[in-house]
Amino acid sequence: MDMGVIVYKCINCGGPLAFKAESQNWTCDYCLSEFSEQEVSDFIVNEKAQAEAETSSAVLEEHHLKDQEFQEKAMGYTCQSCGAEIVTDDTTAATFCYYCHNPTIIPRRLEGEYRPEKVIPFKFNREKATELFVEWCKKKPLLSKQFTSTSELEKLSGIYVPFWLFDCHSDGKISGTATKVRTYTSGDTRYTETKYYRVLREGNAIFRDVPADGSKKMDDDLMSILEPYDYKDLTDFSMSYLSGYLAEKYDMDQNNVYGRVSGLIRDNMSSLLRESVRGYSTVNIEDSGIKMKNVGATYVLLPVWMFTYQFKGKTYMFAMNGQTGKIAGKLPISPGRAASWFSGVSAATFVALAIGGQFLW
Amino acid sequence: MVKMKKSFLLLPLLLMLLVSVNGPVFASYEKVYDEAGLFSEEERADINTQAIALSEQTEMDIVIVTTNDSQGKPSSDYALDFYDEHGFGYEDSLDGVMYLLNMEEREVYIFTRDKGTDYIDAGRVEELLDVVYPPLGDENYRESVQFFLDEVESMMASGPPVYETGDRSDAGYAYTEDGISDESSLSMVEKLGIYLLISLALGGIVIGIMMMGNRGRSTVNARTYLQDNSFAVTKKRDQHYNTIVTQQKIQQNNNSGGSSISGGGGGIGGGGRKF
Repeated sequence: MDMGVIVYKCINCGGPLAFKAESQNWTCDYCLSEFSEQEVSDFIVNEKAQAEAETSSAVLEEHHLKDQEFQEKAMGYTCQSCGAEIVTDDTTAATFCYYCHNPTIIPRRLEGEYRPEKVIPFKFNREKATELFVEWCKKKPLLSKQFTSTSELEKLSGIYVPFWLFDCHSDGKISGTATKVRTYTSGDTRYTETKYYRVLREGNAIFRDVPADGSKKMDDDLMSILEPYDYKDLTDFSMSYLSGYLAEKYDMDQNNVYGRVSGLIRDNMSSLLRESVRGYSTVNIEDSGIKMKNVGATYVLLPVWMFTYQFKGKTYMFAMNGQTGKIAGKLPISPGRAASWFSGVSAATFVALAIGGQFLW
Repeated sequence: MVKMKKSFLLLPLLLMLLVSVNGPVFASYEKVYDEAGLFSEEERADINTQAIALSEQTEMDIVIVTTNDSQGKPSSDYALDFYDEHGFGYEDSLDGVMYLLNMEEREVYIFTRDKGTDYIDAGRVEELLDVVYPPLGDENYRESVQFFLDEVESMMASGPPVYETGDRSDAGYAYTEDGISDESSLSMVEKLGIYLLISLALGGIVIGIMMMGNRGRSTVNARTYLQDNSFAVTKKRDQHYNTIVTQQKIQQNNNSGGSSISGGGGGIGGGGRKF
């Protein structure tokens, strides 16, 4: 038996099962049966137990090792449903068969150190994501109207993106100079009194679950705009959530992304300290030192809808938070609409000034 | 009871002591400086009471001065020096009007300062002199002072002087008219040009804001990933080490028309007449 890929099968009819965001369970598209996570994983365990009973464990082990070696080099997997080869790059953990569109999971990609601790499942489906995106576009006055009417909107995919969530304690110290300025009048002289202070603040704070994506494919800026995720929806990872979506494994480990995260925490810590310097007219921070300790990272998968958009010969990338619907990405600016807004606002202001001016003087 | 009585006696004593030590503090309650000895004690007290009342009413100092020795100075200089040396003025200001009888020069002089000059300009100084001058020929000084007080009261009540357009020779408010004529001298084309610039700038700002909104933006801040209430300031120091005071003269549009003396801070006016 080929252990390279998993297809979750309907317990009733054997059809492929996909995780449904709207009902937060697994539904068979063929017989419309619904299953909870427990039911799906129990079924898988039973199936495995049956398969193992049929093959002696020693033979299986040998088979397994050869398999692994082959798979790691070839990166080719066979679709459990139609037998066609599934072509992926080496970070893909869940995908679809090119030919029969069966959701396919490559569990080896999420084993051992690559096994995520937690996952936030998708909260809404493809149709809802499209709807949210169109709604967002409609609120943008400078966007060409053709943009949302094209069939390009179908090119979106739900991806579980690998993220590292960092916890850490931070100690910080800032110092600088500050002034208090006061003016008063005596007789016909105006006095400006500037008092100079040396200010210093030391403090500590605990930061929790600061996210950083661990995938080179994903644009860091795009991903950071999707924040924040609501971590109350974090659940223990189960392979079955991936069924029906794409999933990536990390190709940047926690040490690779730590630089980015520590910079962020440093900035946060110094702005917290800076906020605690109050009551001055001006504050000039000259020196700051932020230290971090007890750093720990959790590997999680977070849901992202990705839109790749061809418009007038250019490619636009958008990402949507699969939990909150928040959108990241830059929309094209329609020169025509920009010009008409500019001239409209300017003309209206000019007319108002010209008419108002007649009454004023 | 005995102790109480003693302390009651002590209070006026202390006050008297204060008066003698800190004379200038109470100087503003002494409005009559009869150095030439022209008034009886009753007359002096009566004028003083009236002057204090008028001072409160007009919110400027009202002072009556007589002298036999003007120290060789012209009345205008003597009046100015006397006014400055005694620190006259209403509360913190220098506002005031002074009536000076210079017996050495046999001259009556009206001195005005700041608000006094605003209200009693050169024209009104002449009017005042017309009123206070006649009794002086009969050595009727008390009556002249009374006329002075009454006339100042009515002038203050009628508000600052108003000038007809064109009658600017001694008009203190001419600058206002200049300002207005400058404003209206902007041609229609210039005005439209300014409007156009404002309109284009506003259009640009609006488009700029729209462009900023044409993309998804970050909504996380320094507290997004902060564990609740975990931020604590452990050391705080605010050390004052220097103070710098700069001063700047406030430009005032002083109405120094007529016979007012320029120099010495402005707002000074007055005029005199020999008898």
